[in-house]
Amino acid sequence: MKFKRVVLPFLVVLLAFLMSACSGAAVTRGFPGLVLQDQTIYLSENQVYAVNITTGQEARLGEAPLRFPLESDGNINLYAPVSVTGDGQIVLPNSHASQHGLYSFDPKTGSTRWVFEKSKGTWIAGVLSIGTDIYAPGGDGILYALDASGNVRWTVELSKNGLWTRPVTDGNLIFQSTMDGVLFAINPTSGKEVWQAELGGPILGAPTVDEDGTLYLGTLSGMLYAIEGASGQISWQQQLEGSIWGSPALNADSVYIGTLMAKVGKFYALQKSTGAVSWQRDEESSIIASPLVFEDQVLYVTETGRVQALTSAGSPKWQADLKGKLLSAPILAGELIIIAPMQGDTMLVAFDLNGAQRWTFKAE
Amino acid sequence: MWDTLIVTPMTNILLLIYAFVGNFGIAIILFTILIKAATHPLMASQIKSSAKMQELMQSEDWLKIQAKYKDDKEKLAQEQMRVYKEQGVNPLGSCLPTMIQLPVIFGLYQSINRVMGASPVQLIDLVRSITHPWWSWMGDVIPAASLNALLPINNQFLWMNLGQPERILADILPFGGLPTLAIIVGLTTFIQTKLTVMPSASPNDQSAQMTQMMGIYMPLMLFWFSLNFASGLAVYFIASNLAGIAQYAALGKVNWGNLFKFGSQPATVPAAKSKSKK
Repeated sequence: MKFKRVVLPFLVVLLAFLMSACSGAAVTRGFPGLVLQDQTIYLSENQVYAVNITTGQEARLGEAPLRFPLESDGNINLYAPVSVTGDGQIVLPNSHASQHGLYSFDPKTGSTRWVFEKSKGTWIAGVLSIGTDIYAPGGDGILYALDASGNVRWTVELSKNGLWTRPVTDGNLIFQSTMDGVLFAINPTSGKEVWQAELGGPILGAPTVDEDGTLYLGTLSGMLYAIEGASGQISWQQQLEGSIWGSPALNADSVYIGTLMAKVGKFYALQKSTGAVSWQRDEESSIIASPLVFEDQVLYVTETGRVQALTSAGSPKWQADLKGKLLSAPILAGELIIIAPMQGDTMLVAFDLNGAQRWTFKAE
Repeated sequence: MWDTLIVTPMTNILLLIYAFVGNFGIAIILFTILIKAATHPLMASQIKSSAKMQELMQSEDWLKIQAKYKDDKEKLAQEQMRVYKEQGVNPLGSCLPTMIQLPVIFGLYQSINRVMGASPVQLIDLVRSITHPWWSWMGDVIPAASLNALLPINNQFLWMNLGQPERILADILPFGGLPTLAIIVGLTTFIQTKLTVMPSASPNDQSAQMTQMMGIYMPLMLFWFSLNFASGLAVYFIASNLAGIAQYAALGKVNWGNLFKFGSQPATVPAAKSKSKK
């Protein structure tokens, strides 16, 4: 009888564990967030890791690694990319399913400066900071404008669903897309809506702002748009095959974006001025992350671990296959391309611009 | 394989129901009832086999051989097999249907999770389902089933956001609010266990003790789940518990006398009733 009293609770706990693993619902799982600030890469993967771009080593605070927060617990689930404010704070939301805090950390000590806890939904997206002002898209559909101390300046409700994309700015307005398929332009001082464009399909990627103020973004229904940032007028739209998840990448003449269709994907290059497809490329796996443009190359990653670099005309340049899922957008850090595999054997991989692997990082 | 055979078809059915009713809470309830109805023959067979087994274990013949061969395990096993054969009872008759139902239960649970798309990782799987050529064709035929019509899934049901753990919020309430749904899950699980537990031949036998303990642990475990996980799952637990009670009631096997009985063995299901079903 005593034996059963021990075994039964164990079995129940085991079942609970298995069901949690199946559902992933105990915590909300996002993609690893990557941001470059000066010589440091901030990787959000449950905690935030600060990694030196030259050495691939973690920053340290005495003997211990400097992480945000310094100690992780079951209530912390940091996945959104960090935002470094004008006064040096590291701000990002906790994506835990039931703990809805937006955190500000001290970059030198890892200590928490303040926590904003007014949002009632699960935070998914990273925040935009302009100087010391913070624009935070809440999991409750509200865009919160905060000051450097985490006090609310204004709020505006944009959706009944959570806001899953980071706002972007052209230096004049801020732009926030929603899963309801609406793109909003907001005055950053007053929080007043300047215009809105209904795009008809759910939007999961933030718009990419071009130098001339044009916004490029896609919907899950596969429509890619070019929109005038000042007026909200649609310059052109192009139907692609599959769903667009990430944000497009731009060079002088072209717009690049990948799609997902069930388990396969396509990668497209379109003419920036007209939206006509210049070339396209089939992939055996979905393309979810935003591509990266550098020098005369364009690089994309696939869900099943392929890193593919092409010339801007679409010819293969180099490729690599990594373990794990590639769902986060690669970033350019000086002469290195940084990739964050999820559930792989490393947390970061650095390649040079010709595809030679320079270093990998895995937390101790 | 698991995904292709179990989770994806279930996800598609759940999405189709959602496309028609437009409310995810109602879609979960209808889907749970549909799955319970589809697996009802298995459930009925399991309940009947359990009842038959209980009857056999209370029979004079059975008790006699237990006493006679209590020190000779091999002989006891042989004699038990003989009695099974004579009475036409399959000792695995109550286990097999349960084993077959288990993948269905897990699949149901996973498909509900997938359709809720409460996190980016879950939403990828949902988008993958909707962008499958088969589903795209469905979206062309039924506009309500197209990607644009389905997403984002409307997670609002009554006062709840089904993608979030549920709390009724009020300033006077501690711990972030009152977890109404989790409490209902705990209660309905407890009631279901009490109402559907079969009486045991011997109050001291292992299975009776395990059943009694599961009657305590299961409601607690599901309460904890509902407290921390998306409330869409709690809606599923409640619908599943109530549908389970209805299934037993339809077969005349609900043990109403057990509901307010605590700390002892379950009351016996009325013999006349169980016999009349034979």
